[in-house]
Amino acid sequence: MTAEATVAEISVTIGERPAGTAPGEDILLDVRGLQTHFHVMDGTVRAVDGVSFSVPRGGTVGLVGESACGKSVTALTIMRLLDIPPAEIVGGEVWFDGREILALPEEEMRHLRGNDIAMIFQEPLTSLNPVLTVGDQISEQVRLHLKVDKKEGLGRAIESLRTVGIPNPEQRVKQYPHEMSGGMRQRVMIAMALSCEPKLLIADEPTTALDVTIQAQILELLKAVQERTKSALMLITHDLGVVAEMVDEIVVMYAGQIVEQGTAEQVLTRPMDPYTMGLIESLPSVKKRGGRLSAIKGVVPSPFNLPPGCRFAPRCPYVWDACRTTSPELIPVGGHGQRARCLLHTPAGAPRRAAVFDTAASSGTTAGHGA
Amino acid sequence: MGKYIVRRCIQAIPVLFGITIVVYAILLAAPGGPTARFANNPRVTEADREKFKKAWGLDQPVPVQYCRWMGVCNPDNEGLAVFISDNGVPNFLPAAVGGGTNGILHGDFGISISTGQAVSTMIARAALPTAILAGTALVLWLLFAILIGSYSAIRRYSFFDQASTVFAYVGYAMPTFWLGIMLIFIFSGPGLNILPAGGMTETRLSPPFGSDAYWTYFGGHPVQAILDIGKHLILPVITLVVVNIAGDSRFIRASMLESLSQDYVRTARAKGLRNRVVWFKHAFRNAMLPFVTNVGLEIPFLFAGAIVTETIFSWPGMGRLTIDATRDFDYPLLMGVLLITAVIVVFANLLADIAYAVVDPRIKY
Repeated sequence: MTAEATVAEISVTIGERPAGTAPGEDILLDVRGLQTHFHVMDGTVRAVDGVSFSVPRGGTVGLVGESACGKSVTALTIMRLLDIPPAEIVGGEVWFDGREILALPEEEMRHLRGNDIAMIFQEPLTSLNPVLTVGDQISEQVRLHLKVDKKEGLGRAIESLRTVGIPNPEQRVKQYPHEMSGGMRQRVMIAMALSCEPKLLIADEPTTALDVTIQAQILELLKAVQERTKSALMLITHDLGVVAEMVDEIVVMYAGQIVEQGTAEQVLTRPMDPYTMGLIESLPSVKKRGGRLSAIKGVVPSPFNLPPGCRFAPRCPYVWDACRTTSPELIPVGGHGQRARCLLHTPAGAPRRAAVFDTAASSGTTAGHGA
Repeated sequence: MGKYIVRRCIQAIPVLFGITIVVYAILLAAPGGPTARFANNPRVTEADREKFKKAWGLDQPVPVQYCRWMGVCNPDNEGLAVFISDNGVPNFLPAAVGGGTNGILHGDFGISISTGQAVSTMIARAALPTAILAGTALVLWLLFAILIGSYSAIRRYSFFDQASTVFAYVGYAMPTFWLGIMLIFIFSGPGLNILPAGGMTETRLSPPFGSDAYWTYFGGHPVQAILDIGKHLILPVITLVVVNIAGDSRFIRASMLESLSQDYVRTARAKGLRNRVVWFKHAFRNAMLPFVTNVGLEIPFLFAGAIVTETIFSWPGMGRLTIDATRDFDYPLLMGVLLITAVIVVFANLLADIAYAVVDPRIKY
């Protein structure tokens, strides 16, 4: 396999468009080489370090990774909600609906927020203002973007609460967030996000703060409204089980970089990066009943002291000398749009490749590799 | 809510009752006492002193003195009959049903030893000057503390923020008595001499404040009279508010910064709201919650009379009345002033609690 040939083939689906040119009409969100750094007292944290992916119109993409891998910062950078300073968008482009939004004046960006791009946050209690009624919080957004009066704004708030399955929405709009349960509050957040019918919905760990029975309900609701409104969904989560049911494409992040991307089926059934393999193996499943759950050894490296080579090398079970000195690139594997950041897929890793993917296969994961 | 207010008012009764006992006990324990005013007067004999004590009832046992002050005992009777009013019913009952007319229970604060006037009259006369001074100070204090504090938070680390930080530390470090004297020195001294050094009105132009003649004058020249009071207000108000503005602008800045870092502010920004709306509708209201309690605790000290400030500027208010009463061992007056102060403290706290419930929907009483 030659890298050049595959890049040409992949660009159709993943998108490596040259800087400064708009993506195709079918692409709603195109993030290219995004770099977001934080300048803090101890130094500079490269929270997002060259991330590229795209979300098609009406499509669903899952951003997966451990805490502090940069997935939330990616979302907040797209929304341009980070405080600058300490954050700094060092490089890259974000194309949304045919426009490069990192360069938009703040006033125009403000019109996009809540209207074309809406976001749902992790913690519904703290994400809602405790001193304002939920009706007020939803309708102020509707009134702002859809230019309707107070009465109509409240009417739409009631309507959107009904859409997300909240009983008695006429009464509920007058309530305060503390008068609702966690699941109800997250429904309110979803209702709020959908109230202006956005083109893109970013959900940042929408179920993490909820208890397990409510999690499933909220995910079903998200899926249902996404399908009905035809808005694109970018789902941020650390839970592979969640993305499996929710999204078409998966982007796996580790220490600020994408380590693997592809369709949900590719990534979940034939992971090509040892980190993704580790994530999948640490999922509990019926097949693995009785045994100990496997976990990825070690901890995420300190952002101030990243390993010189592959960032996953200190924790990788398949590590060899080259990994500690060479930073792998995100390269196409398998020939069907899947990409991974691992030296195993370079010519240098060829001798070890078979052994690794056989191991993975024997431990319950179906491994396949192109070449 | 109405039920809560009634309950709090009823709860205030035993609190105030307890305060009267404590204050009475402290005054008794203090050295001196009403007769100490004659200590340096060689013409007052021991016999005169005894006559004075008898006239003011100071020869009675302490519990009887207290009960007479409260209005439980009748000052005209002796022995067990002290509990009975002139109409033959228990003295503590309201005058309307034949009870006594003396004591706090019947709205009688007694007679000032040093002036011979009714304590209630003296307090009423001092209340208006204090209300004018405290009211003006309160408005300016809240206005500037909130403006400076929230603007500093919104423009954190800006020049304005740095400057207000310096002002806050300098202002907070300046003792009131020193600041007041410095202001007099600068603005009323021989150099500038543009503002009056003390008093509430220009005594050469108008009758003394509060007298009937003054109100006749006020009716005739309202604008002139108000401007005159305003001119006299400037220095004492500055003296009073600088420390409060300095301290509370820091408090509000911290509170606003915390509020601005909350998730709901991020949500508000994610909705595309204007900065103005994010700051003042979403962050500001939450930032005010802890401040409401703070204000409730600070208000009584303004309205009970800013003792130091009123003394420096000879302001004829509650603070000066307190100082005069203490200096003259005028216990009836002092007890009256302290009781009013206690009432103000209790009700300012009640007001703060009510205000807290109004601004924070999570609080239910």
